[in-house]
Amino acid sequence: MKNFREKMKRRIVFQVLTIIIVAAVYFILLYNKDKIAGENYIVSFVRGFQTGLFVSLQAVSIYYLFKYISALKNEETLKEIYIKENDERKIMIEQKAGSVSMIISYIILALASIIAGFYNQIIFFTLVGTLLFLAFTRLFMYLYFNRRY
Amino acid sequence: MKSKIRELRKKNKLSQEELAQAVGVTRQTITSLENEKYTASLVLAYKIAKYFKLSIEEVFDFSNLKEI
Repeated sequence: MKNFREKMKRRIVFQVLTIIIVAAVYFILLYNKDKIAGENYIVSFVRGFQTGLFVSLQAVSIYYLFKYISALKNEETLKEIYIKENDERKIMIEQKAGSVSMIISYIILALASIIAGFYNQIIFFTLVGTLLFLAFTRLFMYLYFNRRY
Repeated sequence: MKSKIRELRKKNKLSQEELAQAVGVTRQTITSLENEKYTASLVLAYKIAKYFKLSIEEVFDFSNLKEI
């Protein structure tokens, strides 16, 4: 539990840094808002998306920040978080969900890129690029974990 | 995998939550183990068996284990 307490302290620092970095990135985007090209409704959509993402990220970071701070003050809460995070069944479920959703994403991306090839080259190359990026990331991760364990 | 967890828990008048807390897992994991939906890792099996002061084989039933 002592190690977990130290981990919590590191997470608090990480959350504070995340809040600062996300706020800085958002203000840079806000400062450069006139550089977003396109039709008015697209510009408005992009700005709305950026603001929504900023608010969500900050809200999540602040939520976890307070959660970790309160956990450090209360041994029961700390143990509860420890059990939730280290429960082997939950870890297995997360791994399986991640693995299956990646396979579904590959299939959908592959199908979408085939279909997009008939209509729009930019979308086609974007989808193929994403597919290749995901495939190579998986390959490197596989090789890494294969060496590690 | 079949186990005697429910039986042992009731014999010792323990709730799922209490056993879960004692072995460091969530209550849902104990439920899944009792309902044979989830197979415990070696570490968890050891912790449960140790908690009841029994051997792993006395808590978990390995008779249906498939041979390679």
